[in-house]
Formats: sequence, C-alpha cells, structure tokens
Amino acid sequence: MADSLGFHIIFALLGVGLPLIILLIEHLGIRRKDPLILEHARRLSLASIILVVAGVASGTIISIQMSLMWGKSIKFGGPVLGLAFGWEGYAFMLESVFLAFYVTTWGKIKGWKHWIIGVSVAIGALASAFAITLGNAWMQNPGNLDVVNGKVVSTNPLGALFTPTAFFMISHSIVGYYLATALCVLGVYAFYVLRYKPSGKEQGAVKQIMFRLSATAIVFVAVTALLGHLQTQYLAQTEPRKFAALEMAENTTDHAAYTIGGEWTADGTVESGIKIPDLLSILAGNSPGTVVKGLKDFPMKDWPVLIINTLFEAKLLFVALITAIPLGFVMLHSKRLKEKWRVWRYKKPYLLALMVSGPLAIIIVELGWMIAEFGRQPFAVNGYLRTADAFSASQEVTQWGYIFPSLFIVLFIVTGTALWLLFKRKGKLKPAKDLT
Amino acid sequence: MAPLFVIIPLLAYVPMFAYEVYIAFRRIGKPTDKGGEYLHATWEATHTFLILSVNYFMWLYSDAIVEVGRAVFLPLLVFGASFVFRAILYVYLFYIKSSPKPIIIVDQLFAWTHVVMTICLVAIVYPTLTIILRGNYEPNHILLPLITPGLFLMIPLISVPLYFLYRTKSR
Repeated sequence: MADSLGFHIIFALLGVGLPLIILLIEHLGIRRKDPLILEHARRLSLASIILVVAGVASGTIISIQMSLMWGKSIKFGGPVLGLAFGWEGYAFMLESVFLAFYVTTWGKIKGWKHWIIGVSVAIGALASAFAITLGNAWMQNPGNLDVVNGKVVSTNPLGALFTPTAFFMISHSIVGYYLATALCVLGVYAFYVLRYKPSGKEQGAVKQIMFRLSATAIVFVAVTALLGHLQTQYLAQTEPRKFAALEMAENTTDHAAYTIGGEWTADGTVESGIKIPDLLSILAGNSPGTVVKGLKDFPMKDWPVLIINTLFEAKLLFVALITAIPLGFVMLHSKRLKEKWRVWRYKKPYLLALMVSGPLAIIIVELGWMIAEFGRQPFAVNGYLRTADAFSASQEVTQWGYIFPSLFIVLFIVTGTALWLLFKRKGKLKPAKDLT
Repeated sequence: MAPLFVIIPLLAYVPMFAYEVYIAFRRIGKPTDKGGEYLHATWEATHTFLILSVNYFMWLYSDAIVEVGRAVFLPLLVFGASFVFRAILYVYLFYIKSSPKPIIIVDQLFAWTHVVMTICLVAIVYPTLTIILRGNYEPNHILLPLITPGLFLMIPLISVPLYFLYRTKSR
C-alpha cells in the first residue's frame, strides 16, 4: 500500500496546489486584462483535469487497499477517524465538481465570476488536504483514548481530532504542497522559455508569471520552515520517541549535541557524524539546558524505523536547494544589480535549475511523508495499535497486491506524458480572445 | 438512518454512471472529440457520489469492514484494476493520441471497462448491503450529527454546476 500512497501523494499535492496557482495567474490576467496570461491559466487548468483523473483513480485504489488490508485499523479508529474522512468526502466533491465546472466555463463565464468558481475549487482542495491530514495527525498522536473491545470509544470526536499536532501537521503539509506546486509550475515555465523563447508581449506575460511564482515560493518556503521548526519542537514534547530517532538523540541529556551525517547502528548507538554541542537542546527547547530524551530510554520493540534520520537530513539538504533557487531568481531581478548579473536569471543554467526545483520539492514532500510514517512505527495508531495487529489482509490479497503498483506505474507514465504533451504539442500560447 | 448515508449517494450515482456507460459506447469508432463531451470530466465529478457512499460505509460501519473486505475481495480487486485501466485509457484517448482517427480496439476497451466496473459494483454492493441490513453491526452513531449538516450543505452547492455540466455535455 505504501507504493500506492507514494504515487497518490504526487497527484494529490499537485491537485491541492494547482488550483491556488491557477487562481494567482488568472487574478493577474484579469487585473491586467491580459488574454495571454488568461490563456496560461486555462492551459494549467487542463493540466489539473488530467491530474484529477489520475488522482481519483489512485485515491479510489487507496480506499480499496485500506478496506482490504487495514480493516482492523479502520475498525479501531472508526468513531474518530470517520469524521475526518467523512468531511474529506464532501471536500473532494466540492473540489472535483467545481473543477469540472471551472474548466468547462472558460470563455462562457468571464472575469471575476469565473475566478470565484476557481476559489471554490481551491477551497475544496484545501479542505480535502485538511481532512486527510487531520486523520493522519490523530494516528500520529492520538492523545488519551478509551479503548473498549479493541475499538476507540469516543464521546467527542472533534476534541480528539483537533489537537496541536493536527495544527502543526496540517499547516506544514498544506503550505508544503503549495510550495511544491509553485515550484513545479515555475519549472514548466522555465522549460517553456527554454523551448519557445517567447518574445514581445508574451515574454512580458511569462516573466510576470515566473516572478510571481518564485516570490510566492519564497513566502511558502519561509512559512513551511518556521512551521516545520515549531512542529519539531512540539514533537520533542509529545512524541519524544520519534524525535530521538529523527534527531539522533542516543541518551537522555541536557546540552544535547546535534549530529550531522551520523548513522544509527542496530543497537541504537550513533556512529560517526559531526557533533555540534548544545544545538539539539537549543532546537528542541530554545535553551542549552533543555533535556532531550534519548532513544535508549524506550524499549527496542517500540523504536521507529531508524532510517528516518537519513531521510530527514536528505530533506534538509533539498530544502536548502529549493530555497536558494527561487530566492536567487528573485534577487537577480533587483535593479541594484548590474545588467551582466541580471541577465543570468533567464540563461540556460538558471532555467535548468528552476526546472529541477519542482521535482526536488515533490521529493521533499515524499520524504516528509516517509519520515512521518516510518517515525510512527511500530504503531499504526501511535501508542495504541501496532501495525502488525492492524494488518487484516488475507493471503490472497497479499498475493494479488502487485497489480495496483504495476498499474500505477503505467498510470504515472501516461499522466506524465499527457502533461508533457499539453505544453509541447499545443506549442506557443496565443492570446485567447474569448477570455476577456 | 445510517444505511441511508450509504444508499442515497449510491442511488444518485447509478443514473449518472449509466449515462457515462452510454456515451462511452456511443463514441466507439467516432473521431476523438477534442473539446467535447469527455473533456467536461463529468465522470470525475459524478464519481464523487460513489466515493461518498464508500466513505460513509467505511467509517459508519467500520466494525463490518473486515468481514465485507473478505466477502467482496475479488470484485473489489477487479473493480480497482478496471478503474485504473479506464483512467489510463482516458488519458491516452483524450490527451495523448494526436490523430482524431479512431482506434476501434482502444475505444472498445475503454467502453467495456465501464461494463466490467458495473458487474463488479453489483457484486460488491449486494453482499455489502446484505451485511449492513442484516443489522449485526452497530454503526458509529456518534458521527451522524457531525456529518449530516455537510450533506445538506453540499447537495444544493454542487447541484447547479452538475446540472450545467450534464446539460452542456448532452449538446
């Protein structure tokens, strides 16, 4: 099921982020009464339809796999999780119905009225991601539960779901999706500039869109980084087991050192790496005196998958790259710089870097998801239901399980090809007379 | 009241799905309609009714999910595989294939995936409803007051765009 989720996340994050990015571009087009910018928004909305087709298919498969493989997990958390997933059904309905409406009404409904239809799509997509992450946050940190006969007994599902963990996870994830999408679309435009070398009015439109996207990406990077830091601090208090594995805290101590590039051994010892004194305590609690719980304080049978530290370090490295690329792009627009530096922003090496930043951001989202899920192990519902006990698949299901990943690979290739052709085959964009 | 949450979206889905099946067969051998009916993506919109029904079932009847999962394993698997296969063919037919000249075999495959899905749906829904209506499983009543308002909000909200989509599609 992990492979299916890995594919679905790509479609889902673009499905959440693209409506907002399209709105930003359409807003620019309406404000400037520029039919060329509006045509760009229209083409991106077609891309979102392709992504919805793929996302609906992969999302449906995940529901099927959940029922077949994780029925015990659903049974355990049903009275609480059901609320989050029930709301997700509504949010998805709002998103997909209004997306179809939005795409169909280009040229029929114009200006701000059409833009408002797009707002409904963006709200639906946002609410959908909100609800799903709300459910996941509960599984990460369910707090105090009453469990009777292997099932959560809840009198207050709202109170159980809306926790600080939910706030941090939802905000960090959703802003991360927006960031990844902004960078992917920026990469598409970098490709467009490389391939079609727009000139005249079109060059102006493309440059405005690219500047707006990169500036938006920088804001999202700053917000995600801040939220990520606060989330990790909260993790140190509420999920110290995961925090210890993530940050290589071997023993409980104050003045804990931060290790860069180290490695966990099977017995929970940190090997090699560069240690920076006190930094982990400062990161965890803003003071060198903060006590950080070590992994060895927890029984080995409860340890998370220790690879999360390596994944986390890779994530930080990629975050540094995707921060630098759009930041550099925006800075190169500064009129204080000499022209010989400013021209670099549209030269081939920089455009290639912009093209790479989108896929890198998707990898970061995937890494973040893996860290959350591996870090929760060996539990499906942290502290209450072990993953081994939540698995309900029969032998037949396990035998046939390979069908979906195989189909997903084909779906992924076909979707990628369709998106590629949408921009390649249709060629240079022309101002759309029917849109203004 | 809980079974209604599963049955009503399913009943709403049936005529819309039937229409999708009809137009999938109607388009066999015809030139690919680039700006036409399929690009209105009504399938993806109406399919949300099925998702809603499945969602309600999974979470209102979470106790029954293991039994149902075992009872409908094979049709569920075939349904899922057909669903992804249909999505692959859809993207190929309407976004990848460059020539408007029809490829009969692909058109046929596309249309027949709908039939396979219909058969599977019947084979899934019948035992599932039997298990629910037998009444051995207590639904999660606590969720009902929290999800019911959403339904009353969503129905009027989506009915206008849905009506518009189907009206323009049939032209």
